[in-house]
Amino acid sequence: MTDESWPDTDPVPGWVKAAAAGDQHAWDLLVDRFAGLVWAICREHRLSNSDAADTVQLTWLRLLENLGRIRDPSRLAGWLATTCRRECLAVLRQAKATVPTADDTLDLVMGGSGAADQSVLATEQRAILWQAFARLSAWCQQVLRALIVDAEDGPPSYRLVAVELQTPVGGLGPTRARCLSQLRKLLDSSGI
Amino acid sequence: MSPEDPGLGGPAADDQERAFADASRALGELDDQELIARLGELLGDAEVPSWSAELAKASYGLRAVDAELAALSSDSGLSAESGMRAVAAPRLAVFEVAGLSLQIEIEIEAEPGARSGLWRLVGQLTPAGPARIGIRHQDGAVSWTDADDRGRFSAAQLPGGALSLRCERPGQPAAATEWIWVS
Repeated sequence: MTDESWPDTDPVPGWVKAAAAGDQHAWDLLVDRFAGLVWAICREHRLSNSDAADTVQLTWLRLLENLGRIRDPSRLAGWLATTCRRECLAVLRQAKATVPTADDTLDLVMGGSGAADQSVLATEQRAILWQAFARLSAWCQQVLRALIVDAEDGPPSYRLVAVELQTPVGGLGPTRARCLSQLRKLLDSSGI
Repeated sequence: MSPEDPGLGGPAADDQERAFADASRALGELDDQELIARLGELLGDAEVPSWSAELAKASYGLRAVDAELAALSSDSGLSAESGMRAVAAPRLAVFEVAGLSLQIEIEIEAEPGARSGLWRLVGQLTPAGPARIGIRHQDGAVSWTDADDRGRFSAAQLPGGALSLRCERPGQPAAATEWIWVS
């Protein structure tokens, strides 16, 4: 795997085009790639599990009805995140209208303009970070996941991760560094 | 299409560009520790129940390929309201596409305190005229009814969840409304 061949062309615009033209498999690939992001946005807005499930599904239906209309498919992550956020806010607003108690969540996401801007920024960052992570090699994603997510609190055990991934423990550090550097490269290029 | 849609040009699109630029810059300024932490939060929040992914994939069949999209132009269920909203008040939604407006009132079919989980709706087409109306549900089921000469139609015993109406008028292209969530 040489650096010249990386990163691969982003497959997402092709999937959007194919799904718009009737390709179920392309749609499935889009779901596989972005389902995590859509759930993450709902959880970021502190929706209950059942509200989150409804909002996630409605977000997919929004994409479905707009497949042929996406202006910039290379920024689909941002489109999905923004669309999901809009539906989350509608849910929160409705909850506030029917139960008029102080709603910290709604104030947090909708409160003075400063707080609202902050929230838009946070959602957008999640979309960009998600998209960049998804474009890493499968191996990088595995390694970073194992070192980050499975770590819970405290530093990860490289030894345990090495066993889990069936890879020499000495290679994990350099791999982590290389994958992080690739992630940064993807983040930088997404800012163009 | 709603002007808020980030896929179109206009003021919302400029905000989107700015948010994107700001967010990209903010991410670029994080050190490794912070980036890892941010990624950890994101991945931790990104658990997907398998049924959810399957449902999303299966929804592909709900595409209304041959119909024009009638966008939601107003929805009493979405407006920010202060104070208590009567739970039994019907929800009013209007969908529009060139040459056609569909107005519907939806309310839950229930005695107060008893939740049947089923809904009824009455609708009005403008311009008034007959049409075949299909009320599409998330699982692919369609409840068909007819709009009379005055463009009025109604349906009952509708399950909640995602709903979209398909309108077939003689001699006109079919229209399908945006999906709305009824709950």
